[in-house]
Amino acid sequence: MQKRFPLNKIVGYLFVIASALMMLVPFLTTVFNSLKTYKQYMQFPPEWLPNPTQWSNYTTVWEQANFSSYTINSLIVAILSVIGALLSSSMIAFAFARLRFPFRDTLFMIVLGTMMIPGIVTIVPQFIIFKNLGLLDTLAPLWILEWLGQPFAIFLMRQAFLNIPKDYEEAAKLDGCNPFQIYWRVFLPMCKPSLATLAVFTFMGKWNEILAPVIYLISDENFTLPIGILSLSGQYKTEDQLLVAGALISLIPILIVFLFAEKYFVEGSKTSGLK
Amino acid sequence: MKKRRFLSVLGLIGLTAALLISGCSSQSSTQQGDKVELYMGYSSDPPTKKKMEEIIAKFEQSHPHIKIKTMTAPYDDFYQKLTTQIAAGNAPDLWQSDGTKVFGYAQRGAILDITDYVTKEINKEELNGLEFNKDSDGKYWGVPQGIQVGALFYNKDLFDKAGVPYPTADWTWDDLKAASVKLTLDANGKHADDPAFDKKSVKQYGFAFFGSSRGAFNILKAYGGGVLDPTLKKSIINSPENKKAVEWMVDGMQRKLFPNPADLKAFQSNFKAFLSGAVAMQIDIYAATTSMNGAGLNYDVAPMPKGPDGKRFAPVIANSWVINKKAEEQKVKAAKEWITYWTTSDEAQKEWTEVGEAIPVKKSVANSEMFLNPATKPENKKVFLDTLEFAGTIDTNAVFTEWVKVFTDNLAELFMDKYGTDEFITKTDEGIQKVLDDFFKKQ
Amino acid sequence: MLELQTKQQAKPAVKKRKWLDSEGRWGLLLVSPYLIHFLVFVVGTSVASLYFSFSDYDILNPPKWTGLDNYAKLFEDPLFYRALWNTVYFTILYVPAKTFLALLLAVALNQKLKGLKFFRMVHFLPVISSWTVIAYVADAVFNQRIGFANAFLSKLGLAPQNWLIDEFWVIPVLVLIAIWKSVGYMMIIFLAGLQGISSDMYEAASIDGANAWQKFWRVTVPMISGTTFLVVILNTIYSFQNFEQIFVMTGGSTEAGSTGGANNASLVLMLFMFRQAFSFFKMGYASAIAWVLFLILLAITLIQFKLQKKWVHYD
Repeated sequence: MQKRFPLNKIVGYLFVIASALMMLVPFLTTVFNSLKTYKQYMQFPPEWLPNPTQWSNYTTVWEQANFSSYTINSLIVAILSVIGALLSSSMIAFAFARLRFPFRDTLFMIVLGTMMIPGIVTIVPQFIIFKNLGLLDTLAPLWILEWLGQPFAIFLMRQAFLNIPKDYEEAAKLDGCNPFQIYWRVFLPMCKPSLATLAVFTFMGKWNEILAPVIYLISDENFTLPIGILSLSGQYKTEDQLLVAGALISLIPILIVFLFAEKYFVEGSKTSGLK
Repeated sequence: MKKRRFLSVLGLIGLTAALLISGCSSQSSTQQGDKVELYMGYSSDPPTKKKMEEIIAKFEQSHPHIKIKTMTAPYDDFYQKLTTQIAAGNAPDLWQSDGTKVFGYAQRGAILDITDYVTKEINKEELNGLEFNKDSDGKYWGVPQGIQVGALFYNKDLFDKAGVPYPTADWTWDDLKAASVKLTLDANGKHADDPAFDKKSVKQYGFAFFGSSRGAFNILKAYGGGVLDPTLKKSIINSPENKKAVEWMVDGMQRKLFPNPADLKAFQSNFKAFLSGAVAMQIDIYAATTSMNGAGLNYDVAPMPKGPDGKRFAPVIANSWVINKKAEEQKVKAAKEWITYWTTSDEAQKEWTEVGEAIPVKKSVANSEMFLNPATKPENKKVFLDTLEFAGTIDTNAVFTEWVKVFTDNLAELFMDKYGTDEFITKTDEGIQKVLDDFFKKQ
Repeated sequence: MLELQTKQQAKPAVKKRKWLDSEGRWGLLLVSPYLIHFLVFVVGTSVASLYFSFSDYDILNPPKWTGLDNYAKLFEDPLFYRALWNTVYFTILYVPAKTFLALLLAVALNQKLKGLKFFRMVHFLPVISSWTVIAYVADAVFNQRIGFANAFLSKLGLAPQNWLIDEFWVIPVLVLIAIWKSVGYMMIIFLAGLQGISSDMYEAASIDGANAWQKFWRVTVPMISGTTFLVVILNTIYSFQNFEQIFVMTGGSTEAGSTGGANNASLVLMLFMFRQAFSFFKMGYASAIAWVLFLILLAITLIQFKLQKKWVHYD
């Protein structure tokens, strides 16, 4: 028993370290690629380390595009989406988890079912709706649906609410709280880790979204980061190592968010009932 | 209670229906005072976008009653967005269409027939490429915005290194292949005709072609074959001329003189094989010169080689201004003013020539020092103008994108040795005919 | 687990009570944002797309009703079967391999290894990256020319491969990249699940003389099957709807004659649908593909729910 245990650990370490290297090395290679000259980038056979190291790739690509404005727009979309998701999806999820109302279970099955509808063919009808609401070339189509509840977010929060013992609800009821108050004052504070998870997920999804911004945004001043970067790539004109640098720049903000939110994220996964 | 719920559901359904249905009609009038707001679309990359904005500013100065609002995006995204916008009824009043897409919009009724305007107000003698967007009924659907003509691009450094004389106007496709043998090198520096030549480690190829305007289509034509008949509704793939041309290509691929689709894919974008100096010759269009100059390539152009019977073919694409069929009358008027400005004003033409994206549509500018400037590469720019005299369209019709997909997919499989020439011919003939019938038989 | 919790919590619709009491009203009020979402953006757009699927709709002109034409054409289209097979093949490789790898990683990390936080973060790096970034990372590895996979092979004296165009390689490589991108997320879900298994179970197994491998199969796998089930369902749905990856990596270019993903070896249903809609102006046909895809997914999910009773262990 005492002998076998370290062996397990050694195997575990080896496995995890190998896996971690497989995660890191390609990223590192990409970072190196972003620092090469175009000539070296295209060189065959490839060299791993940049030589010379061309830091100016980053400044060049930054100057070529309106990066600060793209970043601000991306932040606006992501933050508004996060707030919307936190408020509305959790409220909807609370109703599904804790209240009895007609067609509740049917409706919940429908919520799950909608995750299976491929998004592409609803692009055109959805575009028409947003057009008639006068929201084209604004950031609104990118975040507004988050304020009306999204299936995955509802699902996640419902799991969290289901895990809260019934006693809390009963106690609040005795104090004369109505269901909204129970949700707001009792349940929501108890699910902070799940809310953090939801926030990180929503942020991540919105930050990396490509298709919707391409369709809804028209003017450069409204572009978000992913299409800002796309607009750099002409058919011919851009040198690839610059695009790599641009893509890596877009990774920095989300990386920062992740580094700060990592703890909440893991805690959230544990308590969200995704066990 | 029940009733109220029912009513509210009904109300929501009604709201949805209203939101969806009203999609096609509501054109908000954007006229402010006497100013017309013209909504214009064009595909761009950073340099062309900047230049276009400058030209628009100049236009607005000389046309104070028009204000231009723009919609622009990189090539692929631009057309996807445009399609969605047309569906929703809020597409630009005027847009710059890829020459290969003009008939697609025309035959689906999305753009305005401007025959009247073209015949009355455009001086055909002064303009390049107007005829390429005239359909078989003689109707005009667009006015050229910039002309693209194909030529043989060659890398002078690679030719010099191999001691091979540069391509000339007399070259046939067989001459090209003979030169390719000397210009193809493996990792050990062995030529393609060396018995020790290692096909698995080719470092430099003789000649690359791909896609439609830069591809096999041109060779089929030079050999006397082709893809569609003059009505553009019937496939003529199945011909002995095409077979000969295809065999010529397959032979080059198999000897590794030409990179196959997999080899090209390795360069990220097909264009980059030549750009990075790994290919000595390539068919390309004028637009390619900006990136080649950007990459500092030492290159020039020659006319497209001749076929075995002396027939020569080069592709032409007239990217054009087209007008939305649903545009309001005053906007159509403003759009025409823009087109007239674009095609006649030396100012606009020269500015656009500066970005080097296209051959100027105005003949006087195209023939001027400004365009032919020998100080910039390629030196022999006159080749493009001479080529324009015999160049032809690449069988662009309403289903161009779709038949090209069948054509290039099958070619890729042929070049990857998935099947032989005969099977390629029958399969492609059937595939293309099906695409054509699907669209034209329905009408 | 999903079903279990529905049963536990859902108070059966009590018929004795008034149809819509105060709680019911509150419930409806609180879900009302989703009702708007559902009626306007789901029902509205779905009905529209269903209508398109029965019409000849080229996007540029109003749809014309053609009944079952699109569906009839679809079932005769060899490319549809090609795309369907590619999608299924992708899923068959993707879901089990990713599940198994994630579980192994979680089990390894669950042994109270030092640096747990670091490993977790490293595995999460691809999860937070967009497909645009991942495309460049994948290119650094799998590009035939500048990629390091081939450079490595040639060091070993092996022939280089055309990873992203070769018919044999393209889907396995795309699957590998997709797993690489998201295995870290799944690992964390499993890790949370593992921490919920009481150590008594393992001790009991040890007393019975089970070795580590046996403990994994007899204790860990059954105890975590609820999580596995959920994860398998979500990943199957994802795999069938995987669009961005294929689009970004093998090219959904509408440019005439683009050879990106030329030989259809990586043509999956979503890409097939996208091309029909936005490159070929066949929105009606694309909508029919979407609805067939939806029905297939629905059927698979229902079957998975039926099968769960056979292998999912609830305590």
